[in-house]
Order: sequence, then structure tokens, then C-alpha cells
Amino acid sequence: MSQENTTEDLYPLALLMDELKHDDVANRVNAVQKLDTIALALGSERTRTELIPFLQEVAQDDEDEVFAVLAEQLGHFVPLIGGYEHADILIPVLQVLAGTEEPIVRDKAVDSLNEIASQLSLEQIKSNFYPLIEELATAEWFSSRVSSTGLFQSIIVKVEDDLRHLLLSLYSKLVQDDGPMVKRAAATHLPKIIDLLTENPEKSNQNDWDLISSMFANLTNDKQDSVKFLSVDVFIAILSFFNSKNDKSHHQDLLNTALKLITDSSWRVRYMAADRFEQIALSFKDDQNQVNELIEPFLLLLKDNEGEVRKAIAKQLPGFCKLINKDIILEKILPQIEILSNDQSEIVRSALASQITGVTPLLEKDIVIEHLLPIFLTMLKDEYPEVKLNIISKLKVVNDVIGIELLTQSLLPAISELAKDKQWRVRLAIIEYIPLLAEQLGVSFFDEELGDLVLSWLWDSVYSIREAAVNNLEKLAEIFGSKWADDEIISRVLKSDSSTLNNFVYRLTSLFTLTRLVPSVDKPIVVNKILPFIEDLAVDQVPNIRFNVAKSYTTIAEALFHKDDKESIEFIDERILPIVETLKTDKDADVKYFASQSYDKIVALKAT
Amino acid sequence: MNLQIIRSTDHDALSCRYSIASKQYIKDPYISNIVQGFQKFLKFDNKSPRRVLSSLVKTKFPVINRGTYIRIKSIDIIIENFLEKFNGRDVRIINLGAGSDTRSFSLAKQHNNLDIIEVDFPDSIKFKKAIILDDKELAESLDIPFHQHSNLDEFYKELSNEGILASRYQLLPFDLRNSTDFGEFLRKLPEKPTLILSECMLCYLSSDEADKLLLAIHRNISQGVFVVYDPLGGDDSFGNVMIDNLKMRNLSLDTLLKYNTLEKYQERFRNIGFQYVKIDNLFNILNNWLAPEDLKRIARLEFLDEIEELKLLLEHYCLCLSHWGLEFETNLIFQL
Amino acid sequence: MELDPDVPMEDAIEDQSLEEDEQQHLSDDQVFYNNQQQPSIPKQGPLPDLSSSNINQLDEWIEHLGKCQPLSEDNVRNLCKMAIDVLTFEENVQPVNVPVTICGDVHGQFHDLMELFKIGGPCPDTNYLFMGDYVDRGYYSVETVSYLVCMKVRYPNRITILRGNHESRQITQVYGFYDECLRKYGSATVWKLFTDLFDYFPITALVDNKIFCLHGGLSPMIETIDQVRELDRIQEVPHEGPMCDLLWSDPDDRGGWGISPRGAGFTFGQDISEQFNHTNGLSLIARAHQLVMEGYSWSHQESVVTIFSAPNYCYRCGNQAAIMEVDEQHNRQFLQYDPSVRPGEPTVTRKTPDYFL
Repeated sequence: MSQENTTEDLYPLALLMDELKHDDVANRVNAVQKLDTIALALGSERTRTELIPFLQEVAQDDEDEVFAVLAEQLGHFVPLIGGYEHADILIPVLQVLAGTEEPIVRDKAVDSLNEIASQLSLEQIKSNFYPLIEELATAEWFSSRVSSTGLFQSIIVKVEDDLRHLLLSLYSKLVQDDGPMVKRAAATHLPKIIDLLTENPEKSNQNDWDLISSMFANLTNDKQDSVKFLSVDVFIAILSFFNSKNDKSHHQDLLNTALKLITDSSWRVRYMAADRFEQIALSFKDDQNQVNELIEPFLLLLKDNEGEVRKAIAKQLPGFCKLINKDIILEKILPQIEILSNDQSEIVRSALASQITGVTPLLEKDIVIEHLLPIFLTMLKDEYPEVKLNIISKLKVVNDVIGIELLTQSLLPAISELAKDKQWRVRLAIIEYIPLLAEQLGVSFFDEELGDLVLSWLWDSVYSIREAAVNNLEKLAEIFGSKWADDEIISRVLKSDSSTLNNFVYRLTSLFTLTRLVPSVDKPIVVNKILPFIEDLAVDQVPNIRFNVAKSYTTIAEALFHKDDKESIEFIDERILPIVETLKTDKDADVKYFASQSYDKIVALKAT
Repeated sequence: MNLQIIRSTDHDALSCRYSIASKQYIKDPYISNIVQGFQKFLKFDNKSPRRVLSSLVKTKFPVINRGTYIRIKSIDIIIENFLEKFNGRDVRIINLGAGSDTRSFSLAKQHNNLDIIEVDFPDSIKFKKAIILDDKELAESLDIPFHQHSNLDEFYKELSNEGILASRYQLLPFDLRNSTDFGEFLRKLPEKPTLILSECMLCYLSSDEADKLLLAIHRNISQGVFVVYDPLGGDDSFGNVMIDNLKMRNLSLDTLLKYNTLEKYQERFRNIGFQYVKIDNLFNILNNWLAPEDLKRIARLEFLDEIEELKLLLEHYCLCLSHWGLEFETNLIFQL
Repeated sequence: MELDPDVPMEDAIEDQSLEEDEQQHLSDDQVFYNNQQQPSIPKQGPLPDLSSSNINQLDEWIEHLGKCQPLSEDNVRNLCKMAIDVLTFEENVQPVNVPVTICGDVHGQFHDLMELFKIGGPCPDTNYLFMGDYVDRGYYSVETVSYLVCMKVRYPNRITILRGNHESRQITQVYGFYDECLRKYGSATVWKLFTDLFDYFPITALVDNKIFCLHGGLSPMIETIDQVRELDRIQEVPHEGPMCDLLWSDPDDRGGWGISPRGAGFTFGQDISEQFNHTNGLSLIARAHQLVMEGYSWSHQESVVTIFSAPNYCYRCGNQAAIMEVDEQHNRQFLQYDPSVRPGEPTVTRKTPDYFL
């Protein structure tokens, strides 16, 4: 360090060094989070000559939490070291971080390196970035090799033919690496590289594609299914390259490869093929004969031994059915769907339930009624709540085709059962669906069938369900109007006998419900029905009731008040304010507090 | 599963052992030598030495200390029984997945009729070898000649991968996930009473790998005592929570729920061909095996608030004892 | 019957240098409370109302803490000062009215505490009685205890917070609260502020003269509730004696008094519980302190109930949690719940709980 440096100049770096000695990792993380400030204070030259070499040391030995932040910070460092022409000096630190075991650190280092690569000149790429990739890709530690696979994409379409071919050759070695982790990483990033070459057609030649297809061949023949299954995405990327060039000459070969993958002996590979089935099929859509060749394999996957595979293919139903003839759906697919709706695995049934409604718009009404409706009805009775919920949440699509009447008889038992599910979050889900259903069903049907149910949720033992039930009733009152709210909710809540009203939770929930309906019902109902109930509760034994009464009065006053209506002001002065004033002098502090709040709000309201 | 991740569980085991030694639960004259060895050599073996080293010496909760004590003590009790039973005869102990275990040093020093073989991954073997050869006390406890090393980098770099082949102590590289070579090795060993120890090792193998290893042991050792300590999934939610938690460390325990009760765990051994199989959970062992004065002694070392948690944890670990081709009756109490 | 005098609870103190550290930290600290400097006699009479600026301040803190964000050190200092002002008015046997919802250990599992309020209803609409052990073991002891203390100061009549055996200087140094404070604040000041505050927490509560609530259990030195009223509670939890027992004891299947395997407190049998309830005209003893897999557990033919409100305790035990609602007619209802769905935390900092590996 040069003589001219005063202690003040040294300060930021010394402080950082000091903080990085701290025993507690949280302090070290904080210190590294402030790196950009320190670099600013030091200026670009000293950042390059002093800070970066110091960080090189830090990157050798600290904990992953610190590394993760360091790796991320360095991605934004190019301006701080004086611009891209100096960017090379960031590479060695990130190279070390890219070699750590912790995947989060590695990923951040790779992201930052890619960020830096995007700012490098072709010359710098050649002299610095390519050697970095080469070193990582041939390093002894598997973690470095894993990281290297994520870096090719940032330069592959920037470099000239020779270097690109070198890169692909290097990549081809990674695809055949001894370590499965490396092979998997290489297979995972390969589609991105292929996509880049597809987007930049002038940036690849026959040699490159020969290499890519040999990599693909390697992957599809890999002994480990955890590598092999990744070849499905590579396959899709290759297909879309040929499609983009409108080159169909390889399609029959590629289709044969697809068929092989779909019928692979490893379920992971079949799973992947099933999961991407629509995408695969779409790539062949210009030739209906080729699409049709996929029908039998599709049926095979629907019958697969492995639940995960059936789950994945069930999700592809609407997508694939769009590509094939209606008669085939009816003859071949529907019978399989029916079997699948009784699948032994609930995850399969649940996946089917989430997608099956998407098939309805593809078929005529009478076919839906004859063939699909019975399946929906079976699934609405499924013992597994998620299956029922998935069907119910998509019923709008079915409704559009066949109308609600046909659905309702079976819908209701399913809803009542879910309404009683022992997991409160399932009950919550069904309650939240009710307003949507109310809009579809219309008022008369709703009262008859669901009227009791929506009230029963008010008395659930779990608070969140009671709260949702109150929200639900508020929304229903908005949909069905004041008279409905009065007949179906208010009158029924007020009819509660005195023994139930002995229960504090019951009184409180009744109070919440009625208060919440105030804005949606006609004034006479508020004055004649809701207000008397609330007045009774103003002298309740339990302070929690009294302070909620105080809060309710704000809502009531807001609903009744009209500034040009003298009567409304008088009413508030006579019926409401005196009680709120009494509550202001309550012996309980919380009642006093909420009563004064309410009082002030009502007075302010009158003053408007 | 990644080898580094399996190896990291040895750091857990060592730090637990270190914690109870420093709390005076056990006397372990060699543990500080091992920790010093870690401080010297870990940088050659591990990418995050600072992190590992700081976690090694972190104090553990009393519940973990108590559980570690009964784990170590129960196995020590069986080893004592074994050595007493065959007092004066040539015997052998094979420790599978020994990692940084320190038992061998004391045992070798005290019993000259005893051969010890420790087996682990090649990298673990190289690392332990470095620590032993570089430490006078450790080397001499195993009758291994000691030489001073001036340059650690060179010393470690030039260390061969063969392990240690001393007269009474062998440290051998085997990846037990594939037990073919190991079985062959066992088959060639001279015949003598052999205690095989598997301490939290089987659980990291797949069901298939474990079966093959068990079979190799049963077939190739003619006079065996087999001690297995393993987690037990249980038929409550404990095992599921454990699997979820260990997933965060990328550790997967394929057999934890497959053999989730003492009955099923015992049956697993019987199906392989082991006939005499005793098993119990560590909570019962804590209550049944320890002398009252020892229970009282450890109760005084540090006080334990987590009574229910200790019971829950220990009920989810088992000790399984099997023997064949020799007489090995003990008066140790087992539930099954 | 005597307590084993050899159990060295002093060993619980790990950090020998702590005393000195603390002296340095606190020497220039004007607002520091300490039981030598403060009168330790509980105050009588009605609790003064909060000023509106205090109310606004508290509401702001509650909202902030509700997002699981810790308060600043200065705010903690102010909060603890306000809390002492409230808690000095409480009695050793704090009277509580029905309806009330009674809860057990929380242990720094903040998100599960939020789940508890989703199940039982928000405070102040629902009245709560917590029976101690807010800190240690979980990752969010600071946020949990700050939140509950804030609620206590804001709504002193709606929520009662008793002292558990973990609300102590010694235990928190072993089981995590001390370390968490150091980690989150960089010094032990907040730990000191809270542990000094813990001395003021009431040790028992009496619900409508019928349900006796406390963290641990009974003491061979206490026959009547009046004897609890006579204790000098404003001090660190002692190693032995009645106050220690109330926070440490456990019910047991064996009759009479027994030595506790915990090294503090006693075990007590059904005969003891029944006699105590009879003598004091009680219907039930409600207590926490022990992990029970279903969240609640009856003992002594329904004369004692254990309530535990930390689901999947220590992120390892796989247990359910429960709370007990007591209505105006003294009907009891138990509500059980599972761990809340945890928001995505960065995996790097999330430590796996210890196992034997």
C-alpha cells in the first residue's frame, strides 16, 4: 500500500476487514451487503487494486451465507471497478464461488458471471471468459463442472464459428461426465443453448448440429434415468429448431424417438414425456397423421403403472384433445378418462379433476351430458377433498355447456360434505367459492338448498371459518339484495333462542354478521331489526361484546346518516349517541376506548 | 445421494461426541486430537472448512447431549460384553462407516488381543489417515510409527489412497453402497470372533444396497456379533418430519419409513437370514441399561428441561443386536 | 421430601464473561430496570388508562410485529418500561374472567402463534390467557415475546401472560433466546431488558375462582392459593422453593410427591391434585410445560389438564397444538391445530434441527 494513504482513506476497507472477522455470520453477511458502498467510497481504482484482491481471500473461506451475498453483489460490480474494460478482474473471485458445494452460492455466482459476460467485448470473451469456462468445465471438483454448464449460454451466439465449435465440444464432454450431477446440469442447460441457436439461425452450422444430435443421443441412452429423463426437453428444443427452419425432413425420425421416450422402461422418463405431451404433440401439428401416431402412446400413458405418470398425462388432456378428432376423443379417450376418475391414487384423481372440465368445450352438449357429466358427478363424491374442490372450482366451464340444473343435484352433497371437512382450510376454500356459485345458481335454488349451510358456518369452532362465513353472507347480501338478507339471514339469526345466546361466541358472531349486513340492507331493517338487537348487547356482561357494540354504532350511523335528512340526524342523536356516550363511561378501559373512537367518528360524520 | 452430503453427517456425529466429552458425560482422551486434526487438514478435504470447524465445537442442547451419551454408551456396553466374553482370545472389531470415531484409539491401547478394522469412503479414509499419521498420540495408540511432518500441504498431497494397514489396525476405503468388494474382503479375513458395528450408517443406503450389505456380512463372517444403531421412522408423524427436515440438507433416508417400527426392523434382519436378533429403542435402553449411579451422575452434569422431547427422540432410534456362529449371551434387556 | 441439592442449575450459565459485558453495556443506560433499584411490591388499585399517544405507538408496534419484524432496541426499551408499569399492578394469582381462551407453550414459533389467533380469534375480541414459555427453541422468540408483551400493554384486561420456566435469565442462555437477541440486535441489551421484565410476570391466574392456571404445577410448600399470594414473585426464578415448583412441576401417574426428572420442581400425583382442588374450591388445574402429542392431555381423572400450543415443537416433534376455550357457563372446548403453512424462507439460513446422524 502506498505511503500517501492517510488513515482516513484506509478506513472503509479496514472497517470491512474488521467486520468480516466477526464471529457471528449475520454481521459478516451485513458487511458484505454493504460492499457496493465501500467500493464507491474507495473509488474504482482502489476497488480494483485493493478490494477485489481482498475479496478473493474472503471467497476462499467463509460460510455459505456470506458467499451467497458476495456472489450476488459482484454481479453489479462492473460500474464500480471502472466499466467493462476492467470486468475481467471480477472473474477469478466468482470462479472460486462457482466451485463451492452449496448450490445457492454456485447459482448466484453463475448468474453474476453471466451478467458480466453480457458486458464483455468479443476480445475479452476470447481471452478471459472462454478460458474460465474451460477451466471450470475441466476442474477436478464436480461443483465447478456443474457451474460451467450454466455459463455457455451467455456467449454461445456471440463468438465466431471456431470458438463456438470448441464450446460445443467441451459441452459434449460435460454431457458424458462421470458425475451424474454434472451430466444432469449439462442436460438441464442444453435446451437453452439449442433455443439460442434456433433464435440466431446464422450462428450455427451442420457441424454444430451433428454435435448436438450426438449429445442428445448420449442423453437418451444414458443408463441413469435421472439423466435420461432430461433428454425430453432437449428433444423439444431440437424439434422447435427444425420447425423454425420449416425443415420437416427429420420429423418421422424424431417422432420415432418421441415414441421411444414415451414408452421408456423408466417411469421418470415416461413422466417427463407425459408432462410435456402437449408441447411434443404441438410440434407435429402440421401433419395430422403424425399427431395421430401419438394417440396410442397417449392412451398407454393414461394406463401407466406409475401414479406420477398418470397424474402428469391427466393434466395434458384438454391440450392434446384439441389436436385430435372428436370421434377419437369419444371412442378412445373418454373410456380412459372414466377409468382414471376411479384411479386408486388421489393425486391422479386430483390432477384429472383440475383439467377434465377443459374437455367439455371440445364436445357437443349431448355427448358431455351422456359421457362427461357422470364422471363429474363421481368425482364430486370423491372421498378426497381436493378432488371435489378441483371440480367445483372449474364448474363454470361445464355450466356454460350444459347449464346449471343438471349439475345441482350432485353438487350439493359434495358441498355439504366439504363444508364439514375436518381440515379447516378445506372448509375455508369451499366457503370462498360460495359467492361464485350463488351467482350461477340464482336465488331460489340457493335458498332451498344452501340457505342452512351458509348460516351453519357462522357457528364453526374455528374463528377463521366464522369470519369467512360473515364475509360470505355480506357478499351474498350484495348479490341477492336487502329482502333476501332480511328473510334468510337477519330473521334467522335473530330467531336464535336464548340458550344459544348464552354463548359469548354466538352473540359476538351474530353481532359481527348483523353489523356487516348494515350497508347492504334497507334502512327500516336496520332500525327495526338490527338496532334493537345491538341495543340489547350494549349492556352485555362481557366487555368484548360491549366494545364491539360501540364499533358497530359507527357502521350503523354511517348507514343511516344523510346530511340533508334532518330526521336521520335526530335519530342518531336520540337512539345512538346516548348509548355510545354511556359506553364511554364504562368501567372497562377497552369499552371506553372504542366507545370514544366511535363517538368521535359519529360526531365528525354529523359535522360533514 | 451425494457422497459429500453423507460424509457431512460424520461432522454431526463428531460434534455431538465433542459436546458430551466437554460436558464430562464421557472421558474421551483422543477427541481433542481429532478436532486438532480437523483444524489442520479440513481445508484439503472440504470446501467450507471454516463453517464445519465452527459447527464442530458448538455446544449442543442438553437433549442432544443426553441422546448422544446413550448412543455411545449403549454401544460401548456391548463392546465391553464382547471383549469380556472372549477375554484372551483373538477378536476383531469392524466399524462400518467409522468416519472420525475415536473408539479405536482407546480400545486398541487397552486390548492387545483386538484387531480393529475401520471402513469408510476413500476420501474419509484419506482424511482420517492424515490425522492419525500426523499425531503422535493417535499413531502410537494404534502401534503405528510416527514421523514429524514439516509441510502439511505436501504431506497431504502425497498421502496414498490405500488407507492404513498396520499390524492391529486397518483403515480401509470401501464405498459400502456397493458391497461386492467388501464382501470379498470379509470372506478372505482369518476366522475369529468379529463384532461388526454400524452406527447410523445403514440408514443412508437404499433398501437394496442395505440388503446386499447385510447379506454380505452374514455370509462372509462365520463368527459374528452385529450391532446396528439407526433412526426409526415410527408410526407417528416423527419420521415424516425428519425426512422433510433432512431434505433441507439434501439427505434422504430411503428406509426410514419402510422399517419404521422395532418389529419391522427386526423382521428386516430375519428376512436376510439373521436368526438371533434382539432390538429395542434407545429410550428403553437409557432406562434399562444404565447403572442407577450413572443415571444420577449424568443428571447432575447439566439439567434437562426437554424430558418429553428426549423420550420422543430416543423412541425413534433403535439398537439392534445379532450374533451367529458363536455363543454371545448377555444379560442386557431388550424389548424384542 | 427434599429437593436434590446437587443439581447444579448454575451450570446453565454458559458465558462467564457475560456479567462484565453487561456491565459495560448498561453502565451508561439511564432507563435500565433492575430489581434492586425498583420497589418489588406490586401496586394496588385500578390500572391507569393509556395515553392516546401510547395507544398509537403500541398499535404501530403490533402491526410491525405482526409481520414478524422485530422492534428496534429503543422501542423494546420503551415497551418493557410500559410493560413493567402494567405488570406491577398484577397479582401473583391474577384474577381472570370468563370467557377466556387458555393457551400453553409457544416457544418462539411466531407463525404458529399467528395460526393460534386464526383458530381462536384475534385479541382483543377474544380474551386470552397464556401460561408461559414464549421464548427459546423456536427461531422467533424476540418477535413472539415482543408481540405478546405489546398486546398485554395495549389490552391489559384482554390478555394475561403468565411466567413460564423459560422466562428466566438462566434458561434463556441455554435454550436460545439469549443467542437470538445477540444475533438480531448485536448485543445482549434486549435480552437483559426482557429477562428483567419477566420478573414482573404474574406466576398464576385464577379463572372465575374455578380454574387455577399456571405453567408447571403444584408445590409441596403450597396448600392454599392464599399462600401463592404471599410469595415475593418479583425476582429471578429461584432454583428451589414454592415459586420454582409452580413453574417447574409435572403431574404424574404415581401418587404423592416425587423427584422431578427435570432437576427442578416435583412430580405430583392424583391425590395431591384432588386435595388441592378440594381445599381451594377449584374445578380444574390448567397448566402447560409438557409436550403432549395431541396438544392437550387430561390427567388425574380430569382434575388437571395440560395444554401445549407449539405445533411440531422445535420443528421436529410432529405434535399437534391445542388451546382451550372456556365460556361463561364454564363449558370447555379444545381446538387443535397443525403448524401454519410457513412462508418461504431462504434455505441457506434455515438450519435443520439436530438429529443423531
